[in-house]
Amino acid sequence: MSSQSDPPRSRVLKTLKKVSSWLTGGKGPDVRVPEETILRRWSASGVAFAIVLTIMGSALSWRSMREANEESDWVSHTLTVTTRLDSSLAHMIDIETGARGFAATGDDEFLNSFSEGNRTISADLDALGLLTSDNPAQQKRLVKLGLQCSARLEVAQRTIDERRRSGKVPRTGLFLEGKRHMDAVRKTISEMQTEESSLLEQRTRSAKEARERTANFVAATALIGVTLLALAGFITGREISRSAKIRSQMRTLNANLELRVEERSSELRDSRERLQGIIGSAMDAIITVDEGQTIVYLNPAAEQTFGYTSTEVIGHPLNLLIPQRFHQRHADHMRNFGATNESRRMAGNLGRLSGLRADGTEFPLEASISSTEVSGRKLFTAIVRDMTDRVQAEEALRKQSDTLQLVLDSMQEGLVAADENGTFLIWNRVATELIGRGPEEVPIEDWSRHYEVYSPDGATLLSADQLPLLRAMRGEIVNVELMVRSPRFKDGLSLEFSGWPLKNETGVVRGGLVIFRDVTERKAAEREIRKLNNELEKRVQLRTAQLQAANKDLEAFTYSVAHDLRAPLRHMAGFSKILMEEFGARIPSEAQHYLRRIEEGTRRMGVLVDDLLNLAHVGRRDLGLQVAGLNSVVEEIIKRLKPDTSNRQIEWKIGTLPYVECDIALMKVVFENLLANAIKFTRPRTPAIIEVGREEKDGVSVVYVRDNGVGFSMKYADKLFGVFQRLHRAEDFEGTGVGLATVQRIIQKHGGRIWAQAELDKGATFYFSLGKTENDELKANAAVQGVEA
Amino acid sequence: MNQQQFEILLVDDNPDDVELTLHALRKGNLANHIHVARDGEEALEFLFNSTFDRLPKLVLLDLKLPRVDGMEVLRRVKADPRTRAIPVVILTSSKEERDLVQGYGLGVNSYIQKPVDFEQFRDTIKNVGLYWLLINQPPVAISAARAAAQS
Repeated sequence: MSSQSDPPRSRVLKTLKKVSSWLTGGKGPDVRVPEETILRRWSASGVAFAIVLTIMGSALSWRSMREANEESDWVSHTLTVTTRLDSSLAHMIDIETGARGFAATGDDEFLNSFSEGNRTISADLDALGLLTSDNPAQQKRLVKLGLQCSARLEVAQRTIDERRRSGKVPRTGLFLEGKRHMDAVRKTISEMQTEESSLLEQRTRSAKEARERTANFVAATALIGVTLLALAGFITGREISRSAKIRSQMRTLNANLELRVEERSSELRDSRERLQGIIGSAMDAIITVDEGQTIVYLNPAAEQTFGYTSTEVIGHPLNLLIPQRFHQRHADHMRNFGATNESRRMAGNLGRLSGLRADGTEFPLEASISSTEVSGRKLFTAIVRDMTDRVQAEEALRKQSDTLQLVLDSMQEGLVAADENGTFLIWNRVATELIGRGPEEVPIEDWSRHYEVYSPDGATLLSADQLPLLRAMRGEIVNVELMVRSPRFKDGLSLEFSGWPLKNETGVVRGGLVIFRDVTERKAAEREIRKLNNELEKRVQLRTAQLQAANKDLEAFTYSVAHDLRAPLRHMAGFSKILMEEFGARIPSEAQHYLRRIEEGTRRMGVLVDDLLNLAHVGRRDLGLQVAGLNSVVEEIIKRLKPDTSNRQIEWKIGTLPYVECDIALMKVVFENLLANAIKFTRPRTPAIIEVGREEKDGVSVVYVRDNGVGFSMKYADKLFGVFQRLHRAEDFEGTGVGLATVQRIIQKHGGRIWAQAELDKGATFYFSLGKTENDELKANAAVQGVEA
Repeated sequence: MNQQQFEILLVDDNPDDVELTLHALRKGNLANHIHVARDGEEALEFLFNSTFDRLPKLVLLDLKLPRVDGMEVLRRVKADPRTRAIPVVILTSSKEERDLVQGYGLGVNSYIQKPVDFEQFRDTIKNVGLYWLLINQPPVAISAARAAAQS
């Protein structure tokens, strides 16, 4: 019994120790906690501890009562066992008495008590077996008792059998034997009763001790409890006076709080209304579904976005608003979402989502989803933004950006732009190639040194403020050529920079931009060209010198022709004339004929030489340009030619001719030749018709001289303007074949062109233009003249 | 001849030209007092080594001459104050621009290209002689000097 009561007691003690330790600050109260709080804590703890102790006292009392009950049970048990033992002894005595009575008298009356005893003794032994089943020693004694009873019964039975058989009182030996067995039974029963009594005594004593301990303990706990309550009461008392003050404050605070709660409630109502308003007027679609993905709410924006009215979709599955191919993904997502319960933006994780409108069109969207629990119902709310515009805008932006990148990358020039702080905004591929470096974070004043920008000769480092980009950033427009060295181009590249400022819409300079290209090769080519030019210059000078020498030769030649060829002609003509005049009468007529032929020959040769000299003269002559009316020129020439045509019938048709810038003397030579030709080749015509006019040919103003003369075959047109070229026999039409060559030379010197249109026997027309078409010969002449000048 | 007053100095190295010119002058009745110099040096000698009262009234000057050419003769005549007033007519085959410019630059009084046609040549020579000897009025100094010499 004592072993059973120990553990609960030690547990209680341990608990008490713990509580005590905590109360006395085993862990130590926080030094920052104010004393008032410590006291209040103490008070509360004391009350709690008192309650604990009271409960424990009650428990112990209850336990003690239970132990008392148990004890009385044991008492009754012992009494039952003793009674049974007494009863067993009584029954054995009945048996002995019955057997002795019958043996003595032979009267069957005695056999009744014997039979009764014999019947009940086994029930007594069985009952005792049950009652002492917890006590092995008693059981052992009980077995011994059983055997002793059986032995007595057997002797009793033999005694009875002997009386019946012999009809007389059996021998004394049987009685003695029966008495001996009976004594053993008495002794065993007595032992067993002693044992039971001793057990009872022991149990009663320990029960009494337990009761006393319990009573002591309950008294002790009650005492401690009262003490603690008293302490708590003291502390509480102190607290109460303080609390009273606090309570009045609290009441005021409470009143305020009430007011604030009211305000809050009103605010909350407002807030709810506002929220309702916000949700209702939100630009984003808001959709709420329940756990079964059935739509329960749709705001107006959602109605508009998806093209449904609320009544059409509420109660329907959310998949109605999701394209078929996203159903599975959405389901997966919702499952994950259910597991993590975290609100997240789906677009970020799931890539671009799509919504399905009532009309079957899809649109990109971005959604964020959150879950709430309303009245035990789990709801998911998705805020869905129609991204069509943004996707399109992003697309457009990307396209624009791609295009810009493409342009920048495809540029053959380097392009660098920087903002006003010198942060590079653009630095394209070619820029990196040409400069040999990329955009790096270098202070502006070190740019020149870092990027190795030199003056065009590559000798001196450019001062930072002269950098094209910096000048552009200062608002200048820059065009400059510089040399830039890099590890890749140690000898440097000649770069041609164009720069200008970047201005915002109000014209404020916000940075600068430079474009540059590699002109190294061009520079080399320029040097090469300069070199070639110099060589060419030398060659031209050489050629010019040669040409000047040739010209001098030509001059000498014409000079010599003029003097040395003309003079003998003049002599021949002169002397033959003198011969004719002074000796004509004495010369035979035949000789006179020959003299005339000589005269004629020398005259023709004189004309020829003069014409040739004229041609040479035209070639070497500088043009004295002035504006002249061609009508007056033509009139003057016609007047000059008229004496030779006195015997001719000529119809002149002179149109209105232009005023042109020309060398008048040479222009006279032109018309003299053309009109003389016209007169000459119309000799067979009566009347001769000679026309001078002006017309437009291929947008060019041309002057023409037309006649109705003998004309010529166009077959020979290419020979028309060649020197000494004649298309007619000398006996038909006289001429030297130099006139048209001279005319062409003059026209060409004026930058014009001359050509003829004719038909044999049907007249000819000579056209010429002035100054409109510059042919190569003119340029060559101009060049030569330039050199001579 | 020394005492003769020469009216014309003809400077030409070509005998044919000289003959034709003289013929033409003759035909114009102008050939009475003509001195012919066959080159420039001779012409200069005649002009500067004789007394000045024998200075001709007219010089007909060819350009292309041996030794001293016509232009040099012209230059000397026009450079000297004593001879500057004598009319000099260039009579030559050429009508080179260069010669014309240079001639007039040096102060020539007239420049005539000899025509190939003899009739024209004859008329030209006759006209030149008539003009400079009869029509043109020389400065008083020359006239006076000449008059004094004649008297």
